Order: sequence, then structure tokens, then C-alpha cells
Amino acid sequence: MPMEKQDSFADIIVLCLIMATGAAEAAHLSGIFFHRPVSECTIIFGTFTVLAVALLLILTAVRRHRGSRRGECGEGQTRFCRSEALLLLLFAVLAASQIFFIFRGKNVYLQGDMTVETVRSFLETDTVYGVNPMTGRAYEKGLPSRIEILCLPTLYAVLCRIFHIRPDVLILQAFPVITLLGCYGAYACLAKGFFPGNRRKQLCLLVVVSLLIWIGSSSFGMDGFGLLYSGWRGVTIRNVVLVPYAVSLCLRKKYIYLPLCILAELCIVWTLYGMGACLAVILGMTLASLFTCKVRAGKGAADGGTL
Amino acid sequence: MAELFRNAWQGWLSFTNAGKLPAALLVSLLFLWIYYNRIKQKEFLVYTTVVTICSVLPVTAAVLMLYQTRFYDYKWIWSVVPMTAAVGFAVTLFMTEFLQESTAGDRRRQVMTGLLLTAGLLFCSGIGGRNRDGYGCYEERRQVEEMLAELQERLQGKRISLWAPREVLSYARAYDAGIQLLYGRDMWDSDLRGYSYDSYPGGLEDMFRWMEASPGEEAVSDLYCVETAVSAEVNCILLPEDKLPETLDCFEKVMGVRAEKLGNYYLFVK
Repeated sequence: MPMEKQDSFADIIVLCLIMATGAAEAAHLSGIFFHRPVSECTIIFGTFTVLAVALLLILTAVRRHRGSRRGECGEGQTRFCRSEALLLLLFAVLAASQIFFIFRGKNVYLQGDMTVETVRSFLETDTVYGVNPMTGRAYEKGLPSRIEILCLPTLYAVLCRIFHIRPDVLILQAFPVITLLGCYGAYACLAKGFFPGNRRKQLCLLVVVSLLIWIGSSSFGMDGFGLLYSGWRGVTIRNVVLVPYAVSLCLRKKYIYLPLCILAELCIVWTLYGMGACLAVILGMTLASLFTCKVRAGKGAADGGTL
Repeated sequence: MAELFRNAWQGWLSFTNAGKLPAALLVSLLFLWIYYNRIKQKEFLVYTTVVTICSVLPVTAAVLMLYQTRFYDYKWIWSVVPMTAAVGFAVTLFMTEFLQESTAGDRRRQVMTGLLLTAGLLFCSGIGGRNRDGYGCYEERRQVEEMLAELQERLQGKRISLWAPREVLSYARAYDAGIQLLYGRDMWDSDLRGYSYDSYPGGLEDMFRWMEASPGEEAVSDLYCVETAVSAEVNCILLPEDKLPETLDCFEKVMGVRAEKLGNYYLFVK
């Protein structure tokens, strides 16, 4: 079964998240380097987000139109059989239980994280890193420049401004749900890469992944723990959205979006001068792909030689 | 460098201690290699196997730790290992191909095997092994927030510069960024120190230890602490209710106010 070249709904969810990160970075950089107030950053963020999402939707519509003219049809156009409906139901129940768990807001891992304090400080002073979020007093020696360019606090601050939500509610309860949706979007794309054209296996993979997220929730460092206890952190978004999505892009040979994953990680996680996990995964997958192609070619030649 | 290698090896041991998902990953990879010829995504299998080995062996793990920057510790090198994807892929293949073929349509055996596999996966989690550092602080946070709301009501819009025990300071700035602190969570949470070049002078560290010490075991004098706090423009001090009466007297004298009761604390407002 050939890989679908059109962007699926799952692709659009993940890409919207990446686009929002890009828009937040633009707003954040204007706040940090041009000393724009958070209120102005909100306008910059809104403008960039609308433009980016509109561009994405136009591109998707054009690709779908071209695909339909070539006769490609999406996988979601046939009816669900009984086993598929059952798997979908099971997945929905597991995902809903996770959303409920996050929404309660009682289970958060705050050690080593100061996002809520940082966002509150941004909103209180209407500046980006105007004061030290830990004390509310002016910085004496400043903060590392690599930390300065990470945009997630500005993203949360502008979202608080736009939707008039308390920072702790947005960061600890609402945004982790968005991360969860992004995670399942990324794994749905990965399922398409693993089992192209087989919806039953794709749904089965999603059920297993949702179960693994519950299982991993008890151990710090696992994807499940990150998602259910600290879904607002950059490392969590990187591990559960960007990395699986980058793997899915490699498997589906949609190389055009790969730089977006690397850039998005650069904006949200402290990496070695931009060389983060996404780049390592992409390079690793490419090398592995070259290696397996070589082995296959070698085997093919050997078989041809013996015949 | 020796410390980096030690961290890399100790990291793997503690990484596998909390839950057994890494073990599930190794079993999954074994299963996928057995089924190598039937797997179309061979590059995924090769990549996952190589990075898993690199993340376990101390030398390669140390290289990965340098690559991810020293800001993060060992467990984060596993970000490059698609663990959930690999285990999910193996379990899905097992359930939808291997099991279907080997049980030849026997639904009962399929269901039983599926249930056993799910139980096996559940045993990979550390369910029940909750640690206090991770969560369980919701009630504490709510209580502190209620107390801070009462404090704000008493001060009626006046600016608050606060010195209080650790459990109060932990949530104060997350509750209201208008509250200034003498020192923040980065005083005791070392993970937070990488976010700023600022460091606390020795005097403030002494005051932190004084505040957290049991009555009578403080290393510095009460007078030194209260005078340092006042000189740092602190206008609001909360002391634990078990502090000695002479400590309260000293604070009342220097601050020129009477101690009031607020929850489980004595409050001094200047």
C-alpha cells in the first residue's frame, strides 16, 4: 500500500502546534530583544498564528485537491468495521480518562520547573524576563542567553492574555491537554507510517500507545509521566509530539516538514546550538535507512547472482 | 570525565529502577528482530536498536549526555529513543499478525493472550510507587494559597515582600507575582539554578537554614536574621508556630510590631 502524500487531520493538529510555537518565538524574540511589552507580543503572536494557520490550511487544501485529481483517496473515507469501531471506542475511553486526569489539576510535577512563576511575572510586569521569576526582584547577573530564547513562557503568557485564563489553570491543566492531543496526532501519523492503509492496525497501535502512556505515568522520565504530570514543559512536548512526528515523517518520506520539527525543538528546549533530539533522530533514521537500503541492495545482487 | 561516566552508568540503574518499560523495550526489540524479514520499516528497527544500545553503554551514553548539554541529566538522553513507539509497534504486530496466525482464529486463546500481555505491560509500571517530590502537593498548595489570600486581605493592597518557611515560599510567586521574596525555590531546588546566573549570598543561605531548622538548633542568631530581613526591605515575615518565645520577642522588638496568628504561623507585618 503506497504512503498517503496528503496531510491528514493528525498532521494538521501537529503542524498547528508547531506553527503556534513559531509564532510564539517571533513574539518572544520581539519581547526580549526589542523590549516590547507582553500586550504587544500578544498582537504579534495573534497575527503570526493566523497567517501561519491560514497558509497551512491553504497548502493542505491545494494538496488535497491535487490528490483527489490524481485519484488518491484518504483512509477515512470507508466505513468502520466492528473491530475498528471497538478499537476506536477503547482508544477514546483511554484518551478521555487521561484528559480527565490532567483536567483535575491535582497531579502536577513542579520540581525543577518555574513556568507558572515566569508567566505570572511576565503578566504582572508586562515585560519578558523583566524580573527574576523566583524572587520578583531585578536580575543581578541576568540569565543564560540560551534560556532567553526559549519561547514557551511567552506562548503561555499571550494565551492567558487572549483567553483571560489564570496562568496556573492554563499551564497545569489546559495546555497539557493540547499536548496530549498533539501526542496522539503524532502517534496517529506514526501509525500511518508503520501500517499504511491498514486502519485496524493503526487504531490498535493508538490503543497500545494510550495504554503505554498510563503505564509510563508512574516513572519520571517516561513519556507517560511527562504527559500526565508536566505536559507544559518543552522536553515533554519534544518527546511526545516532535520526536514521534519526526520519526513518522521519516517513515512516510515527507521530508518537507522535518526542518520544522528541528526548529520547533530549538525554540522550546535547550539544545546544543540547535542540535537537539529531533536532529539526532532524523540523522539516525536517515543513516539507518541508507544502511538497510544497502543491505537490501546487497542481498538483491547476491540473489540475482545465484539465480 | 570519570564523573560523567559514573553518572551515565548510575543513570541507567536508576532509570530501570522506577519502572520496567526499558525492559519492555528490550523484549520488544528482540521480538521485532525475530520478525525482521516481515517488518517493512527496517530503518526504524535498526535506528531504535542502535540508539538503545548507545543509551545503555556508559561510554556512548556519556557522549549523548554531552550532546544534549549538561543542563539535562542522564534520563533525557532517552529522548532520542522512540521507546513508546517501538513497544507499541511490537505489541501491535504481535496482536494483529503473530497472534492471529498462531492461534488460527481461536478467539478465546486470542483474548486470553491479549489480557495476559496487557497484564504483563501493567507490571512494567511502578504503580503504587508514588514519590512525594513528584506529586501529592496539591493540598499543600491550596492551603498556602488560602493563607496568602488572607494575608493580602489583611494588608489591603499593600506591596508584600515576604520571608517565610519553604512550604509557603514554594507557592507564593505562582499564586501572585506581585509578592516579592527574599529567596525563591531555587534556594533548595538545584534544578532551577541553571535558569539564572544570579546566586544567593551566604547570608541568605544562613537565613534559609535558620528558618528550616528546629527550634534551638539554628546556626545563626535570631537578631542577625531579622535585621538582615529588614535591611532587605522585607515587610512581611511568617515564622513557624514552633519557634521559641524569645525568638518571637526578638522579632517583635526589631520590627516594632506584635506577632499575629495566621494559620500555623506567626505573622509580622511592618
